[in-house]
Amino acid sequence: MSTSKLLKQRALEVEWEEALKRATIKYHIAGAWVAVIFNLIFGVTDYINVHHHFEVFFVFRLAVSSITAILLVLRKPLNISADFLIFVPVLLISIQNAFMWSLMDIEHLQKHTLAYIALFIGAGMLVLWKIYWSIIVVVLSIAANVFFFIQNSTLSTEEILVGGGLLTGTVMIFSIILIQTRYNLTKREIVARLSLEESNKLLNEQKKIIESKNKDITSSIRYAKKIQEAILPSERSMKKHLPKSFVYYRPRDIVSGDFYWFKHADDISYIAAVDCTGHGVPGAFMSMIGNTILNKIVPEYRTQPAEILDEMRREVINTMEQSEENASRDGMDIAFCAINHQTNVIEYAGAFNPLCLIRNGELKEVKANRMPIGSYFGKIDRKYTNHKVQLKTGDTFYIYSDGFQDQIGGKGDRKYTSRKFKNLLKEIHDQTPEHQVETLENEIEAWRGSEDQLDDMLIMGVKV
Amino acid sequence: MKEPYIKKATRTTPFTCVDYKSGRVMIKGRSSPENTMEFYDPFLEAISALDKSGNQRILASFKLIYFNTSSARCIYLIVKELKSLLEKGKEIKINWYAEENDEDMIDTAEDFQDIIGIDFNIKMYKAS
Repeated sequence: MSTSKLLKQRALEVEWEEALKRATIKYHIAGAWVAVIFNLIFGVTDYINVHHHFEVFFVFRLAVSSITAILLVLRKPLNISADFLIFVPVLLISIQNAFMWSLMDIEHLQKHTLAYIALFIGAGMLVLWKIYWSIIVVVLSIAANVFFFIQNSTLSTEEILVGGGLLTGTVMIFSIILIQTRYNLTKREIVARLSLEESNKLLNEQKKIIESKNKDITSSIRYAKKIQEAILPSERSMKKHLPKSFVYYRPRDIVSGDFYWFKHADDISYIAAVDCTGHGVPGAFMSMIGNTILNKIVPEYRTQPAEILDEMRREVINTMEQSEENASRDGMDIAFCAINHQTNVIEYAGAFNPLCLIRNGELKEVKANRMPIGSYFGKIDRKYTNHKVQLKTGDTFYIYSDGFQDQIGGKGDRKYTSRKFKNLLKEIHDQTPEHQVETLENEIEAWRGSEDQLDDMLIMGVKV
Repeated sequence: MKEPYIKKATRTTPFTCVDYKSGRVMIKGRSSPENTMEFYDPFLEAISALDKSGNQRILASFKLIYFNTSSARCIYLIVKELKSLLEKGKEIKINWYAEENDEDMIDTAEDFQDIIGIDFNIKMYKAS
């Protein structure tokens, strides 16, 4: 056992002894006062039962009560111990009873037995001390009984024993056991309470540490969120070139693995909806890589979406190549569009994430290549497919991450599914951009119900 | 005989198990752990240990409701591990369960079959 553990145990021992002492003082003061008062009150029974001995008995009683009362008053100034405080009245009353017994005839003896028994029951209820105090009381009580019996009694030993001696003796033994049991129980209760307090204190301390760490981590991530927000394109710049557009962006955590990207150059608007592996902080790190690469290659090096994705994949693999393990698992899914405002042609390429085009109420899905921006599928020899669509006024198109359609909810464990999601797009495509965002939010909230949001969600919509 | 590998499902991780006695591999539920590698690496190891078990036949069941993008990468590695067991001479059967309407789950299965070159039994079930 380590020193600190030993010290802690020692401290606990001192603590429980003090707690026990406090409880004992309380009991013993009460017990002593009960003795002072009731010992005098029982004089009335003497007066009625053994009238001829009343005076001498009352002197005895008065002496016992007075000594006890004096002890009570002087307890603090004389620093009288709690055990001694109760030991004195118990012993004195026992001796007093022994004296009274020796003067009784057989009939009164039996009545007096009850008084003797009351003493031991009272002691059993109120006294908390180590067993040697009980033994001293018992030994002295027996000695006093023998002494007074020889001195005063006219009864035979058998008469005393049958008339109450045996019963009193038995109760005395029970009383010793009772005191001992109460003492142990009280001790155990105090030790249990103290160790509970100790562990509660410890738990509270740990809770505080966790709370403060959690606060630090959260505020650190909140700061990171500001940085992530700073790299996202502003709504103003997007609306300037694509006035009837919206972005529904709902990170699962504070920071996000989904991000959107926009650039306008030479009358071409480039937009991308990107879903990086992971969410939260690891996802956000990946999103910074993706954002940097797109900024670097578009449109200076590449302008065609499929070529952009080919180049982007190369760059992601190069960036991550330090760790083969990461390179094989981390990457991005993406839907990338270039809208030529002069020719009104949209070009698209995708990694897993499709382009949905709604024309005259009909939805057409332009499928993505099923290979991620990354190396985990091994085959990086295949190139991404470039798609071209001539846009018409009134067309609406959408690109998105899988967070919305994969959200679990509804009745039971069910995904929203891409089919249901495409139907939803068909339903809402005629609404204003603001209205669409609202409908999407309400729809997924209703679907999710009490389920947690499982992934980041990103949906971009543009009306031509 | 090696003790079976069993991990109970949690809020963010699926039930996973490898039983060396019967040669069964199972993954079931949802997968969106905060750290996918931490969760899947021991499972992958447990699967590769099937190589040294006496069992010639291996039955792998995938019954996933949801997995996030990084879990998909790990599941791909599991299928690859099964393929390498196949190449080492084991008899491998893969059951891939998908809810009727869940086209993405079926697409993913088809991707894995194509890329890794191993056959799946795709089993459709009705959502309860």
